[in-house]
Amino acid sequence: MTLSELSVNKIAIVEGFASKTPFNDRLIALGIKKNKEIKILRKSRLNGPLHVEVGVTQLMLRELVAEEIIISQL
Amino acid sequence: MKKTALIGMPNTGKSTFFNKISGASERVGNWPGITVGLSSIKTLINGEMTELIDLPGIYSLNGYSEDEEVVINFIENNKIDQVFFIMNSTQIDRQLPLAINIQKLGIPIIILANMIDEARSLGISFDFDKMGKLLGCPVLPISAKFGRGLEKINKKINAPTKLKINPKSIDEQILSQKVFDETVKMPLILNDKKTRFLDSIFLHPLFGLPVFLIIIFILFQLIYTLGSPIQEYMGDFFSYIQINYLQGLFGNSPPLLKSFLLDGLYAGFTTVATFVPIIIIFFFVMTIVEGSGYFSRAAFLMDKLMEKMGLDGRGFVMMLMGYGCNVPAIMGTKIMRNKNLRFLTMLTIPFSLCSARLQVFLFLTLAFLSSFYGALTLFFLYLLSFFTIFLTAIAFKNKYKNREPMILELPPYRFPTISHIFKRGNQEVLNFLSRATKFIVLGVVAVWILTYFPSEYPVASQNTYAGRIGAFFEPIFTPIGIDQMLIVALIFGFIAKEILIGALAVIFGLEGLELGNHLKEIFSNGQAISFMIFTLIYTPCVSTIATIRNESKSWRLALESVIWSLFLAWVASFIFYQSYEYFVK
Repeated sequence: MTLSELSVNKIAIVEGFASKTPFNDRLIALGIKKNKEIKILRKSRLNGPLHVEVGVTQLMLRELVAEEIIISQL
Repeated sequence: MKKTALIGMPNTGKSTFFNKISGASERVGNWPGITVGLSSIKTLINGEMTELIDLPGIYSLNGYSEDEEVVINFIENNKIDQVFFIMNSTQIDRQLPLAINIQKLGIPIIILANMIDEARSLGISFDFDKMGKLLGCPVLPISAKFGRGLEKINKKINAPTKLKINPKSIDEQILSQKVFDETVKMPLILNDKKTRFLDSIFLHPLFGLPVFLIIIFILFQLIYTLGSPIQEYMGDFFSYIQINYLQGLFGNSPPLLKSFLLDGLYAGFTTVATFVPIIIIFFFVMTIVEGSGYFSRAAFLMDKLMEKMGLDGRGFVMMLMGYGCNVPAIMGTKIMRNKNLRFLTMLTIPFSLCSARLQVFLFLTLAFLSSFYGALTLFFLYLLSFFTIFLTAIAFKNKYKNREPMILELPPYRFPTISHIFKRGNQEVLNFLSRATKFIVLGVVAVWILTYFPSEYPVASQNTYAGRIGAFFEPIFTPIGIDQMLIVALIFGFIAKEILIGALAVIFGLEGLELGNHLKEIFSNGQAISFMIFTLIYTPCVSTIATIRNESKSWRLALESVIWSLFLAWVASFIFYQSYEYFVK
């Protein structure tokens, strides 16, 4: 499944990325990398951005980015 | 001289560190291989004069963003002796790979583990000596914000360290994970209750937005109720000096010289000067908002709406701030690191109905309309302002398409230090003065030439160049109810929109109430409102254009802003004036 399918406050493990793009390096640099725990703290209304926590880093990312992140739920 | 580059990810306190150790010697210079100016300082490190260069914050060395390209090109084209790598101590696991990648380039590196106070208060503990051994470089805990640990930089670097260069074959992710596992102890639960609590309010699904609007309203009031009067007092002060001292001083000079010095140069420089207080106050407040971490929360709240316009939530804040004054709002767009996003935001800001335009509208609505219709007209102008912003974003969003997927850090809430706030305000003013002054003065002098020459005719009369331009363009402006003399006023308004009223006073030789009555006699309500619509939208003032060019380093964008707004102004006035003539008359 992808991060966009994860519900709020559930913890998942990052497995990888749906496609191979240079943008993945940015995600890795922000802490979204294989085997790391990831959690959605909140979703904004109307399919707006997600508020995500990975390690000590908190991020906002749009739905389009979340669809690129493959996870497995615990 | 030795060259040391300062590299780090965004949100690691890199600029705080740079500001802390930079004295008066800071300068912005050009470097081989890159087009943006970089700040650098000369400082004594290890008993040797060293040039420390502040590079933009980057996430990796793969050149994905413009900032990353700048850093890569800088490293390739300049011989760097060493790198100071600043990292956020709370996020070591994800920041070390970048440090290791820099080591792989063969550049000696010294790691500064910043925000050590924050990390320790979160309950994270470190073994920096071991970390240094594993990485083969010194790792020094510091707190740039409070100036702690900075003295160690000199001492430690003095001690002969054998710097290890990691071979290219090393996997930065694996090595950094190993270093992290062996030297950093994270608490089971991170103790950041403050940020969680504040987020539960600021990002609340229902209350988040109202709270945001209230905060923006307060900031706006703070900036402009403080700044606008100062701006006005300064304007009054400068005209007082002009009337009481300078007029007399140049009393015996030839009229041409006198007019050039007073109405050209003096007017130009004082226009620049009146922006100084508002820029200082603006960046005082914006530095607090930015440094506090609230900015990215605002982005979160407004993102869905702004996404449709090809912008993001931070652009929304800048647009709202533009309702006070466009100039600092455009300067504020530099927080957006993507060029297209920044350019698109810069194109929209000039349509924010700034306080200078409000002065013109208040004068004209008072002169022409009853209080009810006056208020209605003002309300309509604000709506129109929002609408033109929206239209501009839609029209240009494909041209300035932001291809970077949206992902932003939401840093913990912090309060920036007072010295950082002052320094930032100071820097922005110097930046504005050094870059924008010549364009603004040139613009003001150009308008002076148009309205003064040929000098045998009265200033701004029909036979001056401005008058002739007015006559030339009159056929285009007749369908929107604007005549030759109003065009001359609009040419003046290019300097600063509030000058429009002063220009009308010069053109008709009347002031205040008499001017208002005279205008009402010769122009219809429809013409007056059409003139207001045109004033709202047509070309940004010369200071705004100079700032757009200054911040974007692109004459093209500045020109685009002028042409698009003139076109839009004409269309809007045309639609209004023709329907007014058809329906009301």
